[in-house]
Amino acid sequence: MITKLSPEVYLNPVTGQEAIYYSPKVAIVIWCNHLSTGPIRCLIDTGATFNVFPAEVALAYLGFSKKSLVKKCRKINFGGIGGIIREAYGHLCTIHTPDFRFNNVYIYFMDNQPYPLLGRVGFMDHFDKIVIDETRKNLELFV
Amino acid sequence: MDKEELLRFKEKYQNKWVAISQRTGRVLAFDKDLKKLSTKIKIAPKGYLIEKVLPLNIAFAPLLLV
Repeated sequence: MITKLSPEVYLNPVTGQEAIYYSPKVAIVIWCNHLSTGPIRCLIDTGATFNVFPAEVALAYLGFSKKSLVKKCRKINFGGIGGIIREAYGHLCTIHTPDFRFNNVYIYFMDNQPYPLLGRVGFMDHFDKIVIDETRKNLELFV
Repeated sequence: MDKEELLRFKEKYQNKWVAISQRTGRVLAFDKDLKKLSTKIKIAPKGYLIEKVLPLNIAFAPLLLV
């Protein structure tokens, strides 16, 4: 699968000017509890161990309540820069795109997660090779 | 989208969920609440992407398992 890198604007702290960088994002659909999300754009994050999604995705689309999200889940703690540790609730899901489908992968839903992340375990480990082609501004995923 | 368009897009929709047409790139619907957006999008045409728009002053940091 080859897709275009997504242009993003950021504020350069040195110059104080806005600049563009290109971000590896893919749109996926998640199936869980016999329900599915719409196609959600997610960031492929090599620094993330697992797939981490905002809890509101599960609440809005996958039939979870705040109570059921915590029940019968795989609970783990995530830590980020700054030493903040937060609890995340893992559920077995299926990840779909037009080009591939991964069954029984854990997605960890977490409150206050700003953006859906696809991590090393449960997403990237399904591919033989992932290439960020900065010259062509392409993201290439090879199964 | 060029830099100015991206900037305007970020400023207008920051901290909101948006549904973007895959064909035209136009914003079909938006809301701070994803559940409300999912209701709005049911009546929108097919072929859209949902995305959370982060504000300009947010930078990503990797998450690690502890």
